[in-house]
Amino acid sequence: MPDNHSPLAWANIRCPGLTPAAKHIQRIVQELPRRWAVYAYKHGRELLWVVLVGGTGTGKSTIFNAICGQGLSATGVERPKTLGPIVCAHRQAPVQDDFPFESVAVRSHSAEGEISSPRPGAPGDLLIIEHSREDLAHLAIVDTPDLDSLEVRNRAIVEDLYLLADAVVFVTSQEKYADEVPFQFLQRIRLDGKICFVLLNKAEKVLRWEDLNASLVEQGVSMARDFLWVLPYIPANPSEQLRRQEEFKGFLAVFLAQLARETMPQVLALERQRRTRALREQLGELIELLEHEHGEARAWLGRLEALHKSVCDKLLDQQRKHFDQESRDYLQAEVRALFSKYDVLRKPRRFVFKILLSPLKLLGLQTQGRQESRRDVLLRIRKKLNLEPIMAAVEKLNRSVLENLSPSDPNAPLYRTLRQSGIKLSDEEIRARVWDEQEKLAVWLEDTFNQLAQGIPKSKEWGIYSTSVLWGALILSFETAIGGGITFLEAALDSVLAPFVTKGAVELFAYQELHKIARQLAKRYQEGVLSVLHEQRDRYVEGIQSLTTPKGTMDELEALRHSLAAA
Amino acid sequence: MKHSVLELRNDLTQFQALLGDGSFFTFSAKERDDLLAQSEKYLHKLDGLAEGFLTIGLLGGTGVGKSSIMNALAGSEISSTSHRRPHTNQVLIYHHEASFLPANLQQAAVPWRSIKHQADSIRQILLCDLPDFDSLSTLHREHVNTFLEHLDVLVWITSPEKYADERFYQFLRHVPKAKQNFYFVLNKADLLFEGQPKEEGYDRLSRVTENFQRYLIENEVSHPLIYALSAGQILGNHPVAPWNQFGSFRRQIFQHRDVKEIMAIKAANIDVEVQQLLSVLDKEAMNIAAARQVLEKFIQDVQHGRADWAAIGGQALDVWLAGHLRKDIYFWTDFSGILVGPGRVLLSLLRDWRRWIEKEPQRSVTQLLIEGRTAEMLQRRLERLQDRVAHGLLSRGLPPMFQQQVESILDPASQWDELKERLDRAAEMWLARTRAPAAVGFRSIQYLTYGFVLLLMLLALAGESAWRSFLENPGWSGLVIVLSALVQHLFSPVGLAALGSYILLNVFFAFRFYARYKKLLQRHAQKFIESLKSELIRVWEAELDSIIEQMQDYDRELEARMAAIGVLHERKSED
Repeated sequence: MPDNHSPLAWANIRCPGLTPAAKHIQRIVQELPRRWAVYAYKHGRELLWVVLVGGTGTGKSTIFNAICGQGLSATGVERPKTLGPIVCAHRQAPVQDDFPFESVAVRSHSAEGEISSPRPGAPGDLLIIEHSREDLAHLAIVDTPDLDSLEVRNRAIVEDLYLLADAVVFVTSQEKYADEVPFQFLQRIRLDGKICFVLLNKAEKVLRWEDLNASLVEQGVSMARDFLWVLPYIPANPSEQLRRQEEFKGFLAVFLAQLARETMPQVLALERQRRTRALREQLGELIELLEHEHGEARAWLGRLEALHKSVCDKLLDQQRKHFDQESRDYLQAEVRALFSKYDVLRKPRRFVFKILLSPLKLLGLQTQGRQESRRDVLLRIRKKLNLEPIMAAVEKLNRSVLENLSPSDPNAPLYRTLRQSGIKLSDEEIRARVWDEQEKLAVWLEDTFNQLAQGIPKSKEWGIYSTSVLWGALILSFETAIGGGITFLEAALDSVLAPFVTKGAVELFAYQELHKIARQLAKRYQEGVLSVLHEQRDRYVEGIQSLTTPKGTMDELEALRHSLAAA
Repeated sequence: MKHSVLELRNDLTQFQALLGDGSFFTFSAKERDDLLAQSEKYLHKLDGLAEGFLTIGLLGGTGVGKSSIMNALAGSEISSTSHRRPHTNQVLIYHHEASFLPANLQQAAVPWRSIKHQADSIRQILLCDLPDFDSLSTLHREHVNTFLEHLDVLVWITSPEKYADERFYQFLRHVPKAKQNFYFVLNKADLLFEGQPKEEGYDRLSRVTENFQRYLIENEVSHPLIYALSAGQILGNHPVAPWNQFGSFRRQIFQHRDVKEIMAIKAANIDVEVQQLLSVLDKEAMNIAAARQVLEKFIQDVQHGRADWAAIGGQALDVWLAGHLRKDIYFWTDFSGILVGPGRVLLSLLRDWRRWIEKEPQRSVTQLLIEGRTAEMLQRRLERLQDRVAHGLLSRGLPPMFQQQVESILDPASQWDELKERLDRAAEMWLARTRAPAAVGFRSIQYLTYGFVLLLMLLALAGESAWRSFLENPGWSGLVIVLSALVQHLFSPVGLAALGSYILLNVFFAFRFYARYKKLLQRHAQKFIESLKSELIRVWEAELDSIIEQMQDYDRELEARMAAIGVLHERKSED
């Protein structure tokens, strides 16, 4: 027996509300713990619960008193008269321990010793009136508040007590037997298959058993002869009078025979089976619905991912074009600064270059390149790094999530979660996050270059030396031979020769490095930019995950169902 | 009766006008048509107020004795009573033999049967016995609901057993009729007395009536008129007990009413019905209020982010100005007029060279278009605005109509087209206004320099003696001597050296002046770009203003709508 089943598991059952059937989940989650509590409570308790139910004013309390043989429950013309349920049970009957409904307070009261006045019960309380009649010792007879009155709380209590019932006495009256609310309840009792007596109380002389039976059959409820009784209207002191009535005596005889101590084990076993089956079915339904929700949630996540991806792609597309040029320039400067110490001919080359260019200076046509420090460049890049595209992308993602992924029902839990205040990244959060990523990027760059600067292998070093000598010589001759002549045209410097003149052997040699770093840098930069969008997506994912039933709980439910199937 | 017939008519026509202008947010087209049809029906009813019939309906749960009361009122068995439940499934209409049933009643989509009587005193009254509303038969409930619209006075019947049934009060709350036209009957009161001493019976009756009254008051019937009676006593020819209020009930129901009174009763009902119809506007008003909150927050945000807006615009424009425009500007701004002689030749040579290098078709001023990245950045900003307001509306769960409207106002594509046109026009106008500087000083320096160099060359070429003879003896002969000396020396080594020096000097000065020209051009371009930028940013900021203004206009439109709804609404809440 999974008696140790923690009650917390019920609270863990959640669903995002993506399927139309989600509202059933809410209902089952309300109902199932109660059923389970009743199931556990009834286990091993040798007590038959008989519950009287019926509409207001049908005379439940009168019949209750007549069955119990005492004036226990107050009767009267005020409607509703019975305010809270009253149980008539033997003083040794195990009613009170572990009573399954937390919302119902149980108070016991002895019927002996004092001539107790009839009780109306108290709203929300279960009043136990203890007796010592051995013939009724195996029964707990309950008078319930009405099913159909203005008092909404009453109905919930009746529902709870009905779960506890092993047998039901359905009380109706001449006026009420065709009323919709009580009749639907009767239909349910019949459907559940519990032992059920139908008493039509307060009948006028003209109403015969056959009329009533025909009318019930017409509505789809058929009752056996001994389970349907018509009791006449008794204007004064009905409880006493009723006990002398032939019809009532007949009913009571059948009632006591059906619910005799000897038949109790059978009835209890049957009811237990029924409860087990009902529990199992409801659990099965719940699990199925939850799994359906899970499937929907997975599909939802897929759709979210697709949305996220399209926004990411768009952002990257915009960024890639502009980033490439900037970062390449920057990296070139970095690499040049780094490797120029291996470029032995750099200085003489510069010198020659300067001499050659001096006539241009005289002519006023000198253009000068800027040299920037690493920090400056980083700062410049950062300053240029415009947060606008990222913020716009986040905004677009948020909008499309609400537009395409929100359930249309405002009561669905996911609908509310998607709109709660903390789920959207604010501009400040985005900024902080991007700065953070940038900082990481800068650190990485520093590290990479430091590593490069430290650990150049000897072979490579010599390679650079030799290449730079060769290349330098080539450039030197090139610059001496035609340099003066062509640089004469300032425009040519810009357009044709500039790449050759300014790029040295080092760049050529470090091409591999440059390429690698550029690729990584681009990747990291992209990741940094996208991490904001990822974060936003993760928030949505978290949101829906907080609304799904955890795996552990699902397993527990499944285990519970198995144990019930075995029982 | 809170409102006159005139007021009601006014309300309805206003309501129809509101519906008719089509800018409702909350309702679909179908819902709107339904509402229109309903309001039309009420208008029609208002027209028919003077018809003079008073329709009284007997309403109650199954088994409370509606038919018995009907029979008791009619004084004969006209309605069958039975202990079988549920019983009556058709509407029974009891009317004077000389009066015809109103047409709309005859067309009622409910089975009905009419019974004629000859009592002249109640000839303007139609008494209707309705099916029960709490039984199993859903058909009965539907019949009652459909028939409700024909009723003017409602008699609610219950019994000592049923007076606390939730269904009764549910139905009571749901019926859109004026509460002052309600009567309540506690039938079968004799059951309370049966088998009891008289005092006990009275005590029970008073307790039941008190409870009943309390429940009614709790359910918003402020002054319920309750009759405790027993129709059975009347029908069974039993002696009528003193507590049986059937007599006064009958008098109340069958009292003679004049046309004015009947009209008032009917109008009161229509009033309640109309107010209920108008209550659909609550939702609309709520939605508009929520939308306005979103809009106002948005406008506030946008205004707050003005500096940010300008910065973004500046950044975007910089990309264009510093990138494309700075290069292009040398093509467009043709100040070649301020360069003279060799400088000018050099300029045109360089230009040709550049054109040849770049092989690009020369862009003309008319193609001055803001595109590429700048366009992208500006466009993105516009899109972001739309996304933001859409998100705001979506997160409030407002009907899509709002979003459509806002989107049409803030449509980034059309917005951008307009803005681009405005930016392009501003840039063009700015460009057209620039004039080449006169640069008289610069030009005279060039003339002087080149003249001086030429003079030097002429001096050197002709030689000292030729010039001296010319200066001593100015005249044609002197000039001829100088010329001949020039020609003579030109082909001598000295002459060639002088010519070479002359050319070199000219080239040198050409470059110097070209450099100066370029600097001038650069300065000009810088100034030009700066002023163009500020002009364009002005346009960009004006765009923001226009967006704010449009949103404010929309907000005002919503406000006006709110006010229009509010007028109807206020009337409703005058209760």
